[in-house]
Amino acid sequence: MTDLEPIASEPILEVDDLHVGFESFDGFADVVDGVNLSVGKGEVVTVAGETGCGKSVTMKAILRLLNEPPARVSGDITFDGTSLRDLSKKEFDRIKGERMSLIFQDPMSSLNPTFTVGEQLVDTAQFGGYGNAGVLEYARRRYLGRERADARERALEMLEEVQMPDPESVMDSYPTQLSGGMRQRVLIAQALLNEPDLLIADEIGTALDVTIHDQILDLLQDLIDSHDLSVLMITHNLGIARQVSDRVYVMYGGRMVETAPTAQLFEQPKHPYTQGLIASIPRLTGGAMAEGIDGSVPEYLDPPEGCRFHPRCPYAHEACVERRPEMIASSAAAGVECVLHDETHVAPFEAPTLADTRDRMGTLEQRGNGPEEVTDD
Amino acid sequence: MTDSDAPLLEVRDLKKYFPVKGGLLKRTTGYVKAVDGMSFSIDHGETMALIGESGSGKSTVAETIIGLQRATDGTILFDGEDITDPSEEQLQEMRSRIQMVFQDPTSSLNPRRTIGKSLEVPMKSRGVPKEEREERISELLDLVELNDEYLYKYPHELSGGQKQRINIARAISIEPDLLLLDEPTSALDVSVQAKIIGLLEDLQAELNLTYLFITHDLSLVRNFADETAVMYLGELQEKGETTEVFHRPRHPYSRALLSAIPVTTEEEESYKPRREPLQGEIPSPRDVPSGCRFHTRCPYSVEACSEDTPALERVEGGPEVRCHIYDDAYRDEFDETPDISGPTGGQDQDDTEKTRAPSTEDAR
Repeated sequence: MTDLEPIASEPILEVDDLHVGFESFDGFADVVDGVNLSVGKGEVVTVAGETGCGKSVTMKAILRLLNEPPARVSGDITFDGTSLRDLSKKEFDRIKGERMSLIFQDPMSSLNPTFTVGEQLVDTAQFGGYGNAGVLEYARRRYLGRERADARERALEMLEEVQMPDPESVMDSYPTQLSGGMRQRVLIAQALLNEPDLLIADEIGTALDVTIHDQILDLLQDLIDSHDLSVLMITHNLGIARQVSDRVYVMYGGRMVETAPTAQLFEQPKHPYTQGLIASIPRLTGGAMAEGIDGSVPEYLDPPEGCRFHPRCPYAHEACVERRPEMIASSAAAGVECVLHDETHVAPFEAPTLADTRDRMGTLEQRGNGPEEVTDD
Repeated sequence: MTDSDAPLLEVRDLKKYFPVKGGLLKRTTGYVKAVDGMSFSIDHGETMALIGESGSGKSTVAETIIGLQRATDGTILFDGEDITDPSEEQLQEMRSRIQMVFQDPTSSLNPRRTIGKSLEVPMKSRGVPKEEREERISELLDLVELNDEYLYKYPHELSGGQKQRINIARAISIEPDLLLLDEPTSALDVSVQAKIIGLLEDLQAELNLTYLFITHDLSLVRNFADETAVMYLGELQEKGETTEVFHRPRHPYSRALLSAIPVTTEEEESYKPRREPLQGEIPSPRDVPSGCRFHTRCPYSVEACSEDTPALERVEGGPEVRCHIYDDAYRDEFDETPDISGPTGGQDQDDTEKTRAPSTEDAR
């Protein structure tokens, strides 16, 4: 498989041939099947795909958040030159606490409701990466000297940086006393407290209203610039992917089916799945809306042979069932896992464009809205 | 009942307040004004979209219409009949003509009933004979593009999209006239969402249904609804034909909503109003701001906004807007007004007449 390089010069995170499966009563679920991924220094990378494509599992495997067993993980994960899978738990915790940060999807359930925001932030600032400091060490750092006060100072500064209204009183509030947008800001502040190099964000702000979501994305973008962060973001919303990222990976059925720099991906998507996904998004400009992709994401207990998208693909033919297509690179940072783009393969179809796929999917007729309608397209 | 020109559903000055109890004696200490003076109507076979952030009262409107909540004040007319405070008999009749599809396809199906049984319930309560019911269920499954295999399945065996199809089938099983769709696709993926919207459009054409479509996804509205109503803190802020509202959003809140949508093409980007990010978050409906309810977050707000309450007024070009900027008496007080000339790119040369509406040049 061809390795694709990040846009930025050197990668901070590299995932090579990652496999994640789960043992279950019904058999072995082969969820992540050979994922290659890289994030360059200072690059913002998005992994986009529908529910059940393996996005979150990939992220959890990188951060060792899966219990093994039942999970089975293999493959190499390299963070800034260090192979993460070889590290002991303690060494890994140190790296995770100090150099990587994670923002979870649900701002409600990721904060502990029994502690004030201040306590949670200050603990992170003081003990990030030192989860098992020991009782004596903990007590010394917690109650003696100025360390705690300094950490509190830092937490306050951070809250100001995420534009939290009235940070002093927020420090003494419990998470339930805050609104969704404020909780999300707290989480962002917490993630950035220890000045990480890599930020992993899982569906950030999806639970929020569109205007608040917009504020949060704006804020995040400012922070990415000012802190010089590398970001791996997971989203199901292609619009968000387009808004924030430099490069997008499209994931389907536990595989990365396509990657390209953001503008290229949205203008000339190559994989039939990417095309279908983009065509399915209702447009603000109105106009015909594609009918969506038939079927649903594969069962991982018994995934389809060959290309995992073939049961839903309008261009599927024998070659798609026979073997898994290779990643075909069109440039250093772009590639697609589809035989239609393999020049050595004689396919019964030309490689489709977005417009072809849209036509093939059939469209829903736009509603008549009086004479004005003609002016829309 | 009445002539067909009359709207199917008419809501006049609807109010729904929830009392807040507090203190030792549990006395009413205040009200949450979830819906505060809403008026709108939907014609036969039309789709009206109700959009707004969470907490704006969208779902309460639907719940009040279908009788899950009793209105505090105001009138709801369904096909000419007053159903604001329905009698038991009226409720029976009304429930078979108004149906609702809920947001979460999973929690709205009984996990211990097979799909066939779930679909049977509404017909049973309507007294449809058994043989007819079975036949009808097959028909329904066919209508929502599923087949008889699903009859004996349980909800957990179905995907989200399939479950939502079942919910829709159940809602149309007793041939209602009006469907209240409360965010029917927000729990689904985009490729599935497109399928469900397609299904709803087909059903509307086939069965002559009328929809009240509640959502926060504006791009979906653009493709689906005839009329759009924007709601904020229990009040309508802007209402008009979908094309007009999207082309030239007038109310600062509608503009902010539109400008906040993440889109996927350059073309759409140029279609959005200039970015006008909002300050802060939606205030509590328990303690609504004085004057214009939106003034605390509005980028244009001036002193008058916090003092005088604007009314929902028809402006030139068609839509009704609740904003002082479009009121001649106040216009001079604003330093800046939104540019409502519509999207750039020469798409609308042929409606110059409409851009002559309260233009920004007049104000400066």
